[in-house]
Amino acid sequence: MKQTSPVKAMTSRQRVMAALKREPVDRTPVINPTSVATVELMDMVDAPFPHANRDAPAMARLAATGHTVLGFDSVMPVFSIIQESSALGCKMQWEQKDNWPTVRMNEPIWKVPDDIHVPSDYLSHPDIVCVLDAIRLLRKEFGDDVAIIGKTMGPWSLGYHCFGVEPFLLMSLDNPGKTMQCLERMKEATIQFGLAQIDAGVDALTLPDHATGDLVSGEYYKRFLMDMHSEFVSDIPVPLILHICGRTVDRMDYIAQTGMAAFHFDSKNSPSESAKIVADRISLVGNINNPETLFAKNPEDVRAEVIKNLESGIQLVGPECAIPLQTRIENLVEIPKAVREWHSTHAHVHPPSHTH
Amino acid sequence: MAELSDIANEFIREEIEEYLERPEEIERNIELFARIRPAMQEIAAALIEGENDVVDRLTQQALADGTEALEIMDDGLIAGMGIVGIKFREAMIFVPEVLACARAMKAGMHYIEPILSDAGVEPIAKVLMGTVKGDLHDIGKNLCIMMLRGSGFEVVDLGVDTSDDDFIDAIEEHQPSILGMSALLTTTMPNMGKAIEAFIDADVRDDVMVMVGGAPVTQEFADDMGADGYGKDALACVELAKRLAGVQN
Amino acid sequence: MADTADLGDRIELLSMDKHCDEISVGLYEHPAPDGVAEYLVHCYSQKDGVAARLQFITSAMKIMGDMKQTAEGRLRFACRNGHRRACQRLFLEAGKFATGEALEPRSLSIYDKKSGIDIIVESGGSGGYGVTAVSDDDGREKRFKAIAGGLRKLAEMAEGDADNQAFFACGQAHDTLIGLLLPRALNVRAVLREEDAAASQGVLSAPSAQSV
Repeated sequence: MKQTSPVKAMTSRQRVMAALKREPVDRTPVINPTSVATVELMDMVDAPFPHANRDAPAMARLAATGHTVLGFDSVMPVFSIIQESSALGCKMQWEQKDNWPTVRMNEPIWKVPDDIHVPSDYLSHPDIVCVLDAIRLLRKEFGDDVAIIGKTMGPWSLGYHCFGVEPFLLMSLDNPGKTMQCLERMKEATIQFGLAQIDAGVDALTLPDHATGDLVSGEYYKRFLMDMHSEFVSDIPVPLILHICGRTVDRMDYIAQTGMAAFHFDSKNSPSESAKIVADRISLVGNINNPETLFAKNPEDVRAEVIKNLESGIQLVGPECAIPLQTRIENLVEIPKAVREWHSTHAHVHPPSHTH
Repeated sequence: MAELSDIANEFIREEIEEYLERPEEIERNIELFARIRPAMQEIAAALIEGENDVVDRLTQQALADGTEALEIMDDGLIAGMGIVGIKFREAMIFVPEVLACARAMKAGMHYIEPILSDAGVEPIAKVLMGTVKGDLHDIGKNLCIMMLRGSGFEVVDLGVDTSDDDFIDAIEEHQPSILGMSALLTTTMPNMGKAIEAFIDADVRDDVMVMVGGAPVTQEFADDMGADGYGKDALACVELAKRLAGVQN
Repeated sequence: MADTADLGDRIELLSMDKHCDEISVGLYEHPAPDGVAEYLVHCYSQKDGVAARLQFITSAMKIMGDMKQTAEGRLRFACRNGHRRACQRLFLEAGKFATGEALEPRSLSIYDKKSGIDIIVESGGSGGYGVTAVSDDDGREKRFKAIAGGLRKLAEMAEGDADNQAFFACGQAHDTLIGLLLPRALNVRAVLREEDAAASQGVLSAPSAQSV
């Protein structure tokens, strides 16, 4: 690893923004591009689901705990992945405190490209407004000290929600042209929501687009999404953190070419292999395992995964995806703790670089 | 011993040459397709390409020409699906392609199934099939079901996300000889062990032979959790079911 | 930042307590200075009524499981053994009672609907228990075996020489605990079903893996 002179102490926000540009940092930031809400945090600030997904003050209170309780360098108020689909007219299941809201994908709202329609009052939908208001509240609370990350769903994910997974996948094979047409129309929802969140005050945006490795090939990503994701970089002028679950090493080279600021990868991909593939062309956010490590194991196990990421030169550290709602707080606070302690014994190691 | 050049259909020859790597699978498929009549090879080729309209047309054609339904099933549809299963396992094709092939299989089975049911053939055994709790993937299960039915088994499909209670209720209602569980996610695999434990608690474990399968499942895992058998793909599932049914008899 | 260090390891969670505004109540395990495992019932919510609710659950565990409360408010078994699995089950069962509900230790005999007979559990000393019945009818051995298996599963007890036996590793009697677990042992599948349902709550799946 490269040795440099020490960087003076940064605020959380400065640290996150620098790491997203692969610039020197005082220590590796800990961020949550995806939710770190838990039922215990909900209790702490009296902001239970589903209320915290639909009420701006509750959403902001719960999001704030990511920094004030867990010690992360960012806050991210969009816990789930359904706001856009709700605003587009999908049927929703809001569930309860200890479960996630979901889209009823077995009752799709669209079948063909001509069905696709982003309503003129899309940004006035209550579930969209809730997010924008929560961002404003967080900006007011944290000023310039903490990074605020928003979230806007990519068109492939919207395709799953609005068409249903199997119909959408079959269409992608039967009629790639039609599929591209659908993606072109749906991306409007992605861009509009992203821009609105920038106006509200976000520093960066997570962009989940679930062209996941268990369902589609890396070539699919290249064919359908790579160019569109590159366009998003100019259409949505804040650092974008692409999130795709599952095994994604076969598409990381393409992702690294999009110009996006960062790629949030999951634990099915090793940090060192991922870092080697992207070769400093994009920042990486990785990749603490959720179902086994964060949910079911102990702080020592969390620490081991954090260290693996740090030793591989991953630029930002965090859970691999939205954490299970019953995850223990002690496992989550271990992440920033482990990062701080590692840096105290690995001084002057920033930024991580693989091109030397 | 048959050779690649003995296979009439060029597309099938290319598929075997390009996509099959394991020597035993190459040999088995060459023997198989060399024996199969060209008209059936054509059905298999159309299925592998996911061309459901072509499979539909060719199946109807074959039946009109007097070909036995069982031959169309075995030599056209199932043989073709065998190649699809291998390609999917080796990540040469992904879910969209498999969905298209499954759609093509269904198109052919639409004509075959009624004929087989009407024939009043005594099923070899009754099999319950379900994907375990928390797992929503059913492509592998559906392939197994199609092949099991084509091989003479009566199959009850429990669908996806099958809870232990659903399995147990179904065992009590249908009294099958064999129960098949599939899982496609590593996070749901442990539910197979939990299901078997539930069968013990409910005192039905001894009433049924349990076979398991799915992409992340291994023989070792199946042995650890107390299953009676493991099938690594849809073809192996049928062979296993035949063996377990034989044990029963 | 929340002071989690003093609580110990959270070993069980009642994620939505329906008797107290859906608060999430945790059971924490922490070794005392003398090495004995102690347990604490805790919730992060500061709402009215929460303190009273936690106190009630703690009392319920004392009464229904014969646990002792320390000066620091933690719970332990008099035998000085952890009995973690049983304690987890005891906690979850205690959480099912509404605050203020009258509590008393349960009997070691129960009517079993499945077999149509009265089941009794007899203490054989040295922490051992045998499942049997009041009547002498033949053919009930399978049911005794299943119930004893249920007890062993719920409390991590060891097998005995006979199928219908279950032993606590500490070698001490825990009649109150057995009384609490007995109704659940009759249908241990239902218990495990509840546990599975609870454990699988709150896991976000990618759109391609969701069940709706």
